[in-house]
Amino acid sequence: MIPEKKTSSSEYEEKDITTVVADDLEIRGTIRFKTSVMLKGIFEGEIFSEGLLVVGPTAKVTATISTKTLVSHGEITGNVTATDQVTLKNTSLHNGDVTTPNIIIENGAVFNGSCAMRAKDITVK
Amino acid sequence: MGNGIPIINEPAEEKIVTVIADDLEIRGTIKFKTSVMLKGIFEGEIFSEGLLVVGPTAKVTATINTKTLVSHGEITGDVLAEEQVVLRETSTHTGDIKAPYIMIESGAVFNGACAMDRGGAAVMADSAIAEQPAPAEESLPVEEKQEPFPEVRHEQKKRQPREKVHSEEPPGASETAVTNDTKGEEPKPGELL
Repeated sequence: MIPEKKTSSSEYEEKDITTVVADDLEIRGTIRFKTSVMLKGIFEGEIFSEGLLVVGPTAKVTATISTKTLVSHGEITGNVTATDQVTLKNTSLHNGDVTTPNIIIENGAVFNGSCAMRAKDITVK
Repeated sequence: MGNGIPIINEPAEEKIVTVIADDLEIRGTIKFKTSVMLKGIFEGEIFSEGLLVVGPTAKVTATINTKTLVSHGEITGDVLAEEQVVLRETSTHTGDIKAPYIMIESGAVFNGACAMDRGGAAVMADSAIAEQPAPAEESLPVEEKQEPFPEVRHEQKKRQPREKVHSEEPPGASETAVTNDTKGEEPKPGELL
C-alpha cells in the first residue's frame, strides 16, 4: 500500500492507491485521509493526510497541504508540509513553500517558493 | 517534455579547467568563463559564465552568479544561475536560488527560496534563456541550519532526455507542454501517463 521505505515513496502504481479522484471531478473544501489518494482533477481547499498524496499530471491543486509524502506530477499552488518526503516530478509546477526533511526535484520541474528542511523533526498536525 | 531542458553535463574532474584542491582557502572574488571545481573553502563572490562545480568537501560562502552550478558540497549564499542548478545528494544549500531549471536529488538539503521563471523560454533553446525577473519571494524566512539529512540512496536514478528537442510550439502553449508532453523521455517506473 503505502511504501514504507523512503526510497520507494515516489514509486507506486495507480492501482495501489486507495482513492483515485478522476480528472473530471472538481472538489472545494477539506479532505483528510490516512492511506493514499491520487488527485487528477481540480481541488481547492485543505488537505490533511497521514499517507501518500499523488497529484496527477492533469491536476490543478490550490491548497494548504499537510501530508506524509507528496508526489506531484501536476500543478500545486499553496504551502506544503510533508513529514516524510516531497517529490516534484518533471512535469510538475509548484508555487508555494515546502517544508520537508527530504525533497527531490526532477529536472524540468518548476518550483517557485521557499524550501525549509530539517531532518526528521517536523510535525504535522 | 524535454523541450529546452538543459542536459546536465558534468564533466569528469580531469576535464574541468581549474580544480581548486581541498587544502586551499580563498577569500575574495573569482571570475571565470569555462569551468572551475572548488574543493576547499571559499568566501566571497563568484562570477562565472560557465560551469561551477562545488565538490563534496567544499564549503562555499558566496554570492554566486554562474551559468550552471553543480553542487556536491556546502553552499551558503544566494545563487543566480542563467541555465541550471543541480543539487546532488550530498549537498547542503542555505540561501536562495534563481534559475530557470533546478534539479534536487534525494538527500540534498535546501533551505531557502527558489524562483524559477522561464516564461515562454521553456520552449526556446537553452542558450536563449535570458535571465528573467523572478517573483519576489526572497524575503521569506529561512529555517535555521539543520543537520545534514541522513543519506538516502535513491534507486530511481532517472535520466535526462538524451537530446534537446527544440519545439515549434508557440510560447502560449508552453504550460500545456510542461504539463502533458512527456514524449522524448524514457518511461520511468511509476510514470503515470
